[in-house]
Amino acid sequence: MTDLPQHPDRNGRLVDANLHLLDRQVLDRDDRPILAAGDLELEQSDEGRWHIVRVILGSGLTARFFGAHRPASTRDTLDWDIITDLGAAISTDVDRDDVDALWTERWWRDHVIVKIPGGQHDPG
Amino acid sequence: MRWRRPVSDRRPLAVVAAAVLAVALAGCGIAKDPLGVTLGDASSAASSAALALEQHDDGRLTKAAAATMVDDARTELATAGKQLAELSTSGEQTAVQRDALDVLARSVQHVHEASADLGSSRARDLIDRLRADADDLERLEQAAVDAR
Amino acid sequence: MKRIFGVALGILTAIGGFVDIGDLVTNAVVGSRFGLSLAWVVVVGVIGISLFAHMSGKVTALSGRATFDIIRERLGPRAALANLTGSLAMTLLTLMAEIGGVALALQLLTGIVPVVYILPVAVLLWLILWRVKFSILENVAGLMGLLLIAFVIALFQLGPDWGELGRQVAQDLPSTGENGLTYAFYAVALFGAAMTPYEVFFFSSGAAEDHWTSRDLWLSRVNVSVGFPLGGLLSIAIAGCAAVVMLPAGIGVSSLSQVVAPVGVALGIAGLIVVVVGVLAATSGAAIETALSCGYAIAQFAGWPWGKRLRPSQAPQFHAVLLGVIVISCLVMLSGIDPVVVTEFSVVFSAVALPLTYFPILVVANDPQYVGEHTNGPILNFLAMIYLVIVMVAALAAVPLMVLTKMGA
Repeated sequence: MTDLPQHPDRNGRLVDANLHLLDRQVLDRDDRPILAAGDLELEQSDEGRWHIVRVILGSGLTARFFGAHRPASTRDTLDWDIITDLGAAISTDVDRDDVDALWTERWWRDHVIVKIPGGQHDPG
Repeated sequence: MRWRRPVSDRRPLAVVAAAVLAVALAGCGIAKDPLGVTLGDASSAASSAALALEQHDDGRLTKAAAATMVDDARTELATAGKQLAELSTSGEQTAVQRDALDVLARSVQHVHEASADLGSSRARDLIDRLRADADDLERLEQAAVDAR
Repeated sequence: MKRIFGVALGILTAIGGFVDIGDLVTNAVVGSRFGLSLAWVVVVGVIGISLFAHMSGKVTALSGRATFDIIRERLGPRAALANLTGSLAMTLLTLMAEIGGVALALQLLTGIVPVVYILPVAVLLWLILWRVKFSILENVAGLMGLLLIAFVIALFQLGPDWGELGRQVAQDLPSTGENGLTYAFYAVALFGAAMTPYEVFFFSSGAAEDHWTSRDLWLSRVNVSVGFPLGGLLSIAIAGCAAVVMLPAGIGVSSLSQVVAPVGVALGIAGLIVVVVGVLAATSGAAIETALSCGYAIAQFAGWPWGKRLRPSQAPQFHAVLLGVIVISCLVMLSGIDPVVVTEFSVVFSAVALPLTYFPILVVANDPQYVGEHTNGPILNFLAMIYLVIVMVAALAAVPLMVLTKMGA
């Protein structure tokens, strides 16, 4: 396993973005899946330090196939400070019903699944 | 551990390995003679139809199962017939092909009778004829392989 | 008592669920042309699938993450998408073969041509996946698949020359006029039929559907170490019946009717009906599993909610995928293509797709971040590494052999 160096002035955990963060499943506060973490948005503070501000959801592959990145205004993101744990998946403190990024799922649910009888019932 | 994107020079290696494997295996045996294979399939189909009729006559197969088996044999014989007709042969194989076309036409007729009249009193007779057809086809298969 | 019942149920469903249309057709074809000389491939395949199914179940039980979630995380989205495309294509092909297999079994019961049954079977399959609970699906199909034991009973009833059969097992190549190339081709095909990759997706995702935790791992071990080998015995019995009835008669198996005919010969109409119902159950169960595996793979890759334990409205895209793959399979099979031909392609391409799923599972089964302290022991890793080599050889050899032997003609 990769041995990560100690961070010079923190006692916190040092994490490799590629290995432990990117492409991990994101979970909401009830462990329900949101999407996968595809990329990170960084911002530079006044002292010149870079901080992660947001996690970009989704792989961005569809845009990539057409030779572009998704414009910043259309990206599905989650703020960094709602993340509570980094393990096999990324745990957050948000309710998935409040996440805008899941609009496609809601579209399928409202326009297809509920129209079919039995769509809202528990499997029996 | 996260893998890097596969290094591009690994792909030709895989292709070479596959080719070497294929060639090495090819050395284990010769590719099969197409005429022989077709006649083998036809013989198998005729035997299969005979078995179905026999077992149905003995009360060991349902009518549905026997009819299915005879129908499958009919399809296989038709495919073999088509392949046989389309094969271009040379030398002694041409004679074998000619004889085979006759035998195949006969066995197609027998299977046709069998499937039209499953459970008839002529079952035993048809079984014998189909078995004879199968034997003839197998003999011709051997002749085809020898004539290569 | 309830515990014992649960364990027994697990074993029985593992046995009954082991055989699918690929196993039925490939084992019978091999038995009718090679006798039991390829039985060793079934043994190798059973050990392999037991190893990898257990590993995939372990990883999910301990980490809560199922196979394609892990593949996306390990390979990155682009390589994982390539992997997904390959795995999905192969699983979809298998789904088509299973739907065809159900229709063939219905033809054997009723005499009506299979293409008539394709649409009703597809509709029923979708309805079952829409409404029926996961545990009921697993248990009913698995238990009814046990009827395939008729093959074992038939083999004994046929009173074969056991010495001759034993000689075939030990022989390299029987004297039936087959050559080394076709032998190698069928070895790969039989291997692909035994180690179907969708089984790994299904076992892993099923662990999540059944809410397995570390306390359930022993159950997984029992299921695979008892259930799968017994399922393998069923496969060998299918080959054995063909070897005893079809091989001496010079009949090369090429249709489902010929697969089950030996049971009729041995046990009469009663035995025949029992075995055909068993085939119906086995292929239906496999159709359910492969359809679900398609849904699991896509949903896990994309990060969507998935699973039969959720209401359809809670996993809308998962259910949309299920509907989509069933529609596609139905349309293809409605063309009247012979399900046995589809099956033969599906087992060969199963062999090709094996490394796509097996390699990531092996790596992650050793990653403490996923499995904590339950990383593979040295023996398991050693065996798994050997299998990785076998799997790579089979995957590379499959297509060249298929081309060289013209699909085993």
